[in-house]
Amino acid sequence: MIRVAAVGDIHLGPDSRGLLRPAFETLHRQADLLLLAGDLTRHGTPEEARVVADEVAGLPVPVIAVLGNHDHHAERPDDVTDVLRSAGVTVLEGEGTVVEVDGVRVGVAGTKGFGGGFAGRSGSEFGEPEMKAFVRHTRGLADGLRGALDGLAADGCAVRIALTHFSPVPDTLVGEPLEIYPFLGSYLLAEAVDESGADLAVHGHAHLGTEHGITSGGVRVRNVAQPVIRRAFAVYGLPVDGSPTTATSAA
Amino acid sequence: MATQPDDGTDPDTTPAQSGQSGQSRQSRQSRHPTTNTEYLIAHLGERLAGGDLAELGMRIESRGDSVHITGTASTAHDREAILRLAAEELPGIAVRADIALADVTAPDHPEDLS
Repeated sequence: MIRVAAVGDIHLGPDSRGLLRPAFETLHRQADLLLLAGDLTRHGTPEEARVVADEVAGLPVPVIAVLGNHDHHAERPDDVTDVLRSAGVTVLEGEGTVVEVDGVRVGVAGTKGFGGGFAGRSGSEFGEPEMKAFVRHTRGLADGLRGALDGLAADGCAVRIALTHFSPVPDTLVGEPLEIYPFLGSYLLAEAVDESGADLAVHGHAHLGTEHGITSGGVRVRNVAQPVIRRAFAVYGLPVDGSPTTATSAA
Repeated sequence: MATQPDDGTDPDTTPAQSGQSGQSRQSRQSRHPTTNTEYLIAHLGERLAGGDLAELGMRIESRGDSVHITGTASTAHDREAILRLAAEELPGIAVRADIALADVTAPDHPEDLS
């Protein structure tokens, strides 16, 4: 059993320094790795990123993160990433990383993701340049996620996890106003997960949403936005059957 | 979705009295001269997002003669700041707030995904 701890949308700033550290220091007793599903800061400044870095520095489990929209607000995502990496956090965007847990290769593929909406209710690459850019951005990030998941399969990972900030499915948005679903996620992310296969998809972003969901291909989805899970983090136990997950077996 | 405060308090009901000075209130009203509650709610949402709080997670809705705000704030300080901004942006309108505080305790059990 691989124990995956995850939380998103912690929105730390200087006035919340130390808020999560006491809970994080219990991680070694209940998890093998910690996933951070974006919106780690409020405005995406390096100063706020330093608070996040201090909160997770030196933890006895690997910490793997993606950025969220808040982490881009100051338009310094590279600086935020550098600060987090200096504290030992693996920050993913269109990439995968592998951690070994008791000899089991666990792969995490990550992207921020973006919006656009869900099948039958989504935007298209059509019309004004701004609209085309909006949808292309999501498509590009979803392609990055697909490539990262494929790479983890080729790398022999027995367990693969898709980590995003925006949601791949509408299930985990229930509780949010329907009108804003296109700003909360995109089916393109779920399509990438289903095509490449994964054992779990974890996201944040939807504070008023719901924890549990599933892609149409059968991959379980968890919204770990902190206001949703109502804890410092959630822990999910993933079984290991010894064979790499494929798109077919995931579905 | 409405949430109950974690600290056991009853949902707040704040008769909105402006905390702003007359000068700043006037300049705001000249930029946003509307008294239309729908637009005032939109302006509050923009102000919560654009200010120091960077708060995009509150649900702000008109309910009868009042405005209802629900969501989860990171700290008690943030919750107070949200209520203060609501009072400034919704002068003369009763604000009913049901803002929970984020729970930062560790979970007591995992979810088994077997």
